[in-house]
Amino acid sequence: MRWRLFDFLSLAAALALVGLFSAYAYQDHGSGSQLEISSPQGRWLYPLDREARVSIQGPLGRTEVAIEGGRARVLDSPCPEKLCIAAGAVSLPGAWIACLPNQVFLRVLGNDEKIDAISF
Amino acid sequence: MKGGTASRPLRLAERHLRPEHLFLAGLGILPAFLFQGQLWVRAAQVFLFMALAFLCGRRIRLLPPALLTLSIVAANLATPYGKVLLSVWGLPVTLGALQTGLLKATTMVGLFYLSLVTVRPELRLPGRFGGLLARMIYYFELIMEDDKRFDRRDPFGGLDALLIRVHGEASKSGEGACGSAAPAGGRRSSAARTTPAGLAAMLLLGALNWGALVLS
Amino acid sequence: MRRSTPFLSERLDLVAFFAALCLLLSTVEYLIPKPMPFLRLGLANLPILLALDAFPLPYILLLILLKVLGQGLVAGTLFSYVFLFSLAGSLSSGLVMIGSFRLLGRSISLIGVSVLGALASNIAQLVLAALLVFGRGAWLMGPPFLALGTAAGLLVGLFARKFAETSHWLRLVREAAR
Repeated sequence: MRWRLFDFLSLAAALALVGLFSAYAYQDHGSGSQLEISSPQGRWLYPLDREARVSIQGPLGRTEVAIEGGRARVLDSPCPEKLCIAAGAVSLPGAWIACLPNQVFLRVLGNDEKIDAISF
Repeated sequence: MKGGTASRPLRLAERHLRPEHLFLAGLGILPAFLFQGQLWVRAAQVFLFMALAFLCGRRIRLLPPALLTLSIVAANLATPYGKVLLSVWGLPVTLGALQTGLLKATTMVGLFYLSLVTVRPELRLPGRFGGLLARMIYYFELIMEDDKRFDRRDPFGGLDALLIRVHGEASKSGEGACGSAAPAGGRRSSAARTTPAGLAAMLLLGALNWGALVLS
Repeated sequence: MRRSTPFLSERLDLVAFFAALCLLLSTVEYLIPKPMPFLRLGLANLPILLALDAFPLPYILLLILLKVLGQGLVAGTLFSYVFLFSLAGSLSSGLVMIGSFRLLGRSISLIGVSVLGALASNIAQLVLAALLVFGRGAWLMGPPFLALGTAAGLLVGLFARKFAETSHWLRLVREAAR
């Protein structure tokens, strides 16, 4: 049986596709951007690309976190100073927001952490 | 294709229900399963469908659905969501991802078994297309009955001979093409009517599933 | 080859026979042990490959439809996701096979047609799996799935080509179906 032109081409295309697909699927994407919320109660993980409202229970009450438009921020918290709300929104790997009184800590996970130092 | 039919004494569906009615009953139960949000109720439904399929004579293998469930859950856990329950080899197992995975797995497995119960091979679709389907099944059974051993050494010739043989058989018997052709030496014949017991069973199952939906 | 009945024309009757062959092959494929129930070898595409040359287009489409519905009916999976995957796979591979066979003519043989068909079927099913069942985790299984499918497609294509060239039965069918 003689193979015709497109028999070879089809097989080549198929193999190329498998190769490309492997390269794509098996590389480490980095974890995508994820928000990690920690408290003494436990740890939560949320992707930043999906809208969500999360309510974390702390000793003072519930801290409300909103994820929208690829960013996370604290909506409401029972702490006296509300510093965590004033901190605004985070989206870059390494960025964080903390509500110390209520013991809730937000951090954006990712591969290239750009923010290393804590600055006041 | 995971289900098979076995010649067991337990063939309740066939004796009590017309295939068309069974099909409609299945369609009726379908939404009550798909919209069920509570995971444990869904799991119960899946086992219910599995038991029903067994009662209807289908061979049930437990390993494939278990593996499938595992792989679906594992794949969904790869995208973490919600509260972290535990860490397996450094990878977090999150509640949200677990729930999504279980939901999808129960849907897949449950639909499969519900389908096994509801869709009998005897089901005949109306019209010319139904006739075609019936003819196809007739030929299928004819081929299955061919008992000349398959010659490994010459698969091409062997297959060729088999096909000529079977097709020749069909010509000779000139089998009835009057409407839905059922094979002459047909297997078990399905019930022509739905018995009261069958009807009661359908209603009971419907009530059970819809009740679960309403109450949750 | 056989006299046509009042109900089904000879061509339609042949389509039914081909569909029965598809059923047979999917039964055989089912019996082959596989690590994951999702891995499909596409043996049931063999009759379709053989039919490409023998039947006009509408009959081939009919054959594909019969194949999918027949599988769903006999296996009892008409309701489930399995059926949806089967439908997507068979339709996409069917269209690709028909298209490549007719458009490429002499530059392709059943070998290439089968490989392309397998590719189309696997990609369609992979996408469906990612959307409906597995989420983004599906991409991890993609490459081995595609590799195996391509290999199977190649083998089926080789068999189909050889069989189409040597089979007496097929020659009779082609004459009958003109």
